[in-house]
Amino acid sequence: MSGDIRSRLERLRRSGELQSAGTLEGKTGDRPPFFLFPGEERETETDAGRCYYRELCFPLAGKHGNAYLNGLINCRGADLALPGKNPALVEFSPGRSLFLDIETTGLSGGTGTWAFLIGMGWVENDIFRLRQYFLRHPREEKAMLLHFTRRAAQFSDLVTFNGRAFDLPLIVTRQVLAGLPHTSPRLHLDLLPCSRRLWKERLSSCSLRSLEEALLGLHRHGDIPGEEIPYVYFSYLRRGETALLRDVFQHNVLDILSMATLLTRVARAAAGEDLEHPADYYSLGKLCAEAGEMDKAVRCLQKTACNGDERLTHLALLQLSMILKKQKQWDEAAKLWRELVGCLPYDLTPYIELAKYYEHQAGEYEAALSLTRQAVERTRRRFSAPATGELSLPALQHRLARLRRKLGENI
Amino acid sequence: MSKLEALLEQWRENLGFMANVTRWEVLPAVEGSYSTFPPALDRRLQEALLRRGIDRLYSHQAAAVEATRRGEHVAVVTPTASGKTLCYNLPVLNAIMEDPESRALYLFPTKALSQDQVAELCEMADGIDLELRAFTYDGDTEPGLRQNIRRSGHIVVTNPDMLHAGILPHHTKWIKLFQNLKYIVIDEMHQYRGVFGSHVANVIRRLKRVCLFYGTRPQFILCSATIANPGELARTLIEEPVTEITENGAPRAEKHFIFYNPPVVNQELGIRRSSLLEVRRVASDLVGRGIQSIVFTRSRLGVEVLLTYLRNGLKTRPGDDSGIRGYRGGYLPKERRAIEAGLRSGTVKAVVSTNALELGIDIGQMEACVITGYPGTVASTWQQAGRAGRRSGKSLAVMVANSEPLNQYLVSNPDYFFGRTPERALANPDNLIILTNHVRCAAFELPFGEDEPFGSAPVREILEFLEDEQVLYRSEGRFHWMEDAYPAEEISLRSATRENVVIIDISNPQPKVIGEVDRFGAPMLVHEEAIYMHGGQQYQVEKLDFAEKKAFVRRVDVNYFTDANLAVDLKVLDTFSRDISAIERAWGEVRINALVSMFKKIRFNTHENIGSGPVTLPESEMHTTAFWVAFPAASLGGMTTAAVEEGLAGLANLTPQVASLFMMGDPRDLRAVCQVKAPFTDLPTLFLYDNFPGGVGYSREIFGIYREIFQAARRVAVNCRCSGGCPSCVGPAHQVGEHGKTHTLRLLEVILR
Repeated sequence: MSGDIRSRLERLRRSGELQSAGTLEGKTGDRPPFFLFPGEERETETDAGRCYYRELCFPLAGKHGNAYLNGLINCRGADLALPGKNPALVEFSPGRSLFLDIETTGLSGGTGTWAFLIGMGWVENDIFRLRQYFLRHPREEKAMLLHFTRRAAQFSDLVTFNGRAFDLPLIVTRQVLAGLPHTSPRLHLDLLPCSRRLWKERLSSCSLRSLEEALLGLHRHGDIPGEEIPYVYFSYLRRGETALLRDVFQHNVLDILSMATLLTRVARAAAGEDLEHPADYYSLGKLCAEAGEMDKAVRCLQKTACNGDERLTHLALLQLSMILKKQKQWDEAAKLWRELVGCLPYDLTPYIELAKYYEHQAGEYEAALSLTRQAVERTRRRFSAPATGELSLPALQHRLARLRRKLGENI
Repeated sequence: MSKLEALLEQWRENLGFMANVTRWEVLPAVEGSYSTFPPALDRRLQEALLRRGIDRLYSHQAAAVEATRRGEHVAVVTPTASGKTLCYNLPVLNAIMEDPESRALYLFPTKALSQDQVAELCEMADGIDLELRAFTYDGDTEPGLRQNIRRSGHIVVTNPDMLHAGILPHHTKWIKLFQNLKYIVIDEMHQYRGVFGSHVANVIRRLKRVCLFYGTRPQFILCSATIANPGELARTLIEEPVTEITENGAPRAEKHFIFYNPPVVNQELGIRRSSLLEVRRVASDLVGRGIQSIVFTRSRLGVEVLLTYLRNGLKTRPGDDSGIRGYRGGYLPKERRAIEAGLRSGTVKAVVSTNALELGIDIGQMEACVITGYPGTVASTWQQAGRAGRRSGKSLAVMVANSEPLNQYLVSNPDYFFGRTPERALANPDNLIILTNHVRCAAFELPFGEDEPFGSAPVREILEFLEDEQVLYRSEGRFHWMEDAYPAEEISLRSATRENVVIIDISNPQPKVIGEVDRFGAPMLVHEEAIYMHGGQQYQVEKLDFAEKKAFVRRVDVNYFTDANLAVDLKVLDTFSRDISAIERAWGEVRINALVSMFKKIRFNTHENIGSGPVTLPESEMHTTAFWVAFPAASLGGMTTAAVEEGLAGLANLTPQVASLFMMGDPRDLRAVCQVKAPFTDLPTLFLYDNFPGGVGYSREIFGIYREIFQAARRVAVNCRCSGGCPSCVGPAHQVGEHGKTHTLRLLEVILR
């Protein structure tokens, strides 16, 4: 097709048929050498060319927020296996781990998103060393990734915050594109799901920022909002602006230090230390029950039941009753269910558990029928939240019909 | 004599019935043409086929296996129920048996087809003791399964939209697939035309680019319904030489195909009896005799109406559905599976369906098929008719026309249908808007070299444009994606531009997005009070927020549609090709400025104007391609200006409809503008433009085949029984003037002289 493509494109942009990203500013020419952190930065040679990183040292005896960094050294893998929901984490050693957090040109992921700042931290003797690789120019990406990949391979274990879904896949994507080996740690501890398991009953948000404020005694001032970070990098790249870049580096430093103290906090909470709130005992109790650590679970849940508000108390009792059920202590369990029927208005579990007990253990079909009928009624009148599985309406009706049949046979 | 033969005989003797039959075509039985198993076919695969009762292949299946064996790209063009799936399943399974690391990617235009494919593949594999991992991968795939599919799926069955937005932008997660990709199967190729086809061609450019990154050059196997230009379309889509296989080797039993035109009830307006009522009669005859039938209608509403008619007609007890079922989008998957199984086993006697059942979903073969109204293309008419036709015994297809012009053209020109198909599936991958948007996606996937081609498209200037737009960043001779965005998400393969107006249904408390229209079409289609049709359902637009690009609609059931009155200004920007003889014809780039000032409410079938209203929306602008024909004074033989004006108005009503017939498009896809003294040609001129930003190839094609199109237009006008013009041909007299039809015919003579 004839026609000057450029002028046709301009026409389409003006008419709005081609969406425009906006500005058509002039490009900058050569930039002065990158020089942002005197004394901390290094330029290093790799097989793929030169790359840049900055290094900082934090004494382990020092504080970040209200916690000391050296808490890290005493964390035991055994305590992390529980909130990490992975028994292999028993082998985990925070002292030999790599803490990883990256800053990127977008949050959507995919092959077009760059990691322009790769922050990593580790324990070295009595310091916590923090290194930040920075992509001064896209041509340095391979060198940067190569240097990072080799350094990262020296650590067997990895700690991230939301790294399972974001940081690690993105790093691996960049490694694939650059034709480099993939970072694949032996153990990966993602602190985001751990924190959710431990604190979501208490905190409305489990973002790193919320956790810092609620648990780590850290309040950031003047921190750069995450959604602005890509544009800071773009204006550095396109116009050589470095002013806001410092804030991005600092943001990344704080993220990594917070991961270190958060890890400590997670391990202590899992060990049953520093629990501040009945909700924390409840969460821990539930985790222990899921992991089969029944004695510890019972202790935690009993604590919640004694000190919690009404809602938490009921939730704890329900968990306790399920433990008793698992241990076939039917009478004790039934006692709790009887107590719970009626006080957990949105949960039909105690009704059905009790109905099952009457049907299968006690052989009291009338009682089972009456409870099932109540559950059906509550569901029909939308007194309960919509449920799935054995609490769904069809399942309840099925149970009802079966009980009716059994009663019919026995009369 | 079978029940069907008895009924056919009865119809033949019924003069009232035969008066409405415009063609009764008997397609004779054809013997199959067979080949022995090609030696390249793995012995275990041959044994598996034997166990399924297949001891030889149809000639086209064998040809496909052999051509793929030679490493060629293949396009198989054969009708429905000709065993097309073996044409690609055999080479693919063979490759996997030779090397279990082999991978294949299957692309289907819709999700429903994918499910059936996977079931069929797994059944085949069961017979071979092959641990075949075939999966569908689309929006419905559970997140928990996705990683396993990416890593270990031998055959991944998906659709172009998912490939575009879900797979290619994450290609690093699919290393195994791309490193071992042997075959890419593209079924229902003829669906990839117009805007959709132009997009898909670019998605394939991106796919090939990603494959190259992982060091593979997969072979393509394409399958298509019969169209006039399968090879051309295949080459447009994959930009490689293609071996065409068009000889169908499958046997066919005798088939009767009846074109039925309902009787005229209003001679003056050319109004005919409702096709739905005629279909009721035809279908009741069939179902009443226990002949298993499928009835196609064009809307969901039509399905429900006919279902009621048929059930009532059979005077069954209440609650007894007498084995008659409806089938359409909106039914639950479970219901649909049950109906499909019922059709196969014969417990379901008749099904009334939208075109949801047109494509390859396995329902076995019916004895008879009734089609309510022309489905829009010859290809899909044959696909629907192909639902009837068993290996042995006669089958029947009846198409009942409605009053719309295309229907009337077809039913009164059966040769158009039964002859060699004139339908062309066109795509324009180099549509600058679509191309630029896919260059964005491609750059997101892998950086672009400065001189790297993108298929056959030169893209250096586009890359530099995007660099200036601060979307790409150039470094060391490569353009890198450098923006906080995920471009594939913003680009729909179903519309030309990214600037779409989203249509939101607010009938229920939970608002739901049901579709989108492009920015240019929005003032015409979704102005306030417009009736918007979606999936056969009518919606009325309550509010159009043009700034926010949102139209809020509510479900309604009314007996009219709306037509916006469009004031169009057309300016020629560039001429790509021109031919001057007695008349002047050309095609080129144009700018359309459109202003919608009012709309009319038009009653269905009768096309009466039953109301109107104002529209206050800003003017919209579109760049597209147009074909035009201009009439020098000498050619007009003294026609008055007024006569020329009426003739042009007639052509403007008639030609887009007829032309769209040749392009497999919707009549709305082409628009006409006439200017009595066009500024560009300085002559009376008829313009036909692609109603899509950037154009999808219609105008260029019309430039080439204009005689064919204007001849067809003349046939429509001549054969139409109206005296002075009607909505079925050149438009009603109050629009084109008392002698509008005569003047239109005169201009047609000038063009065709």
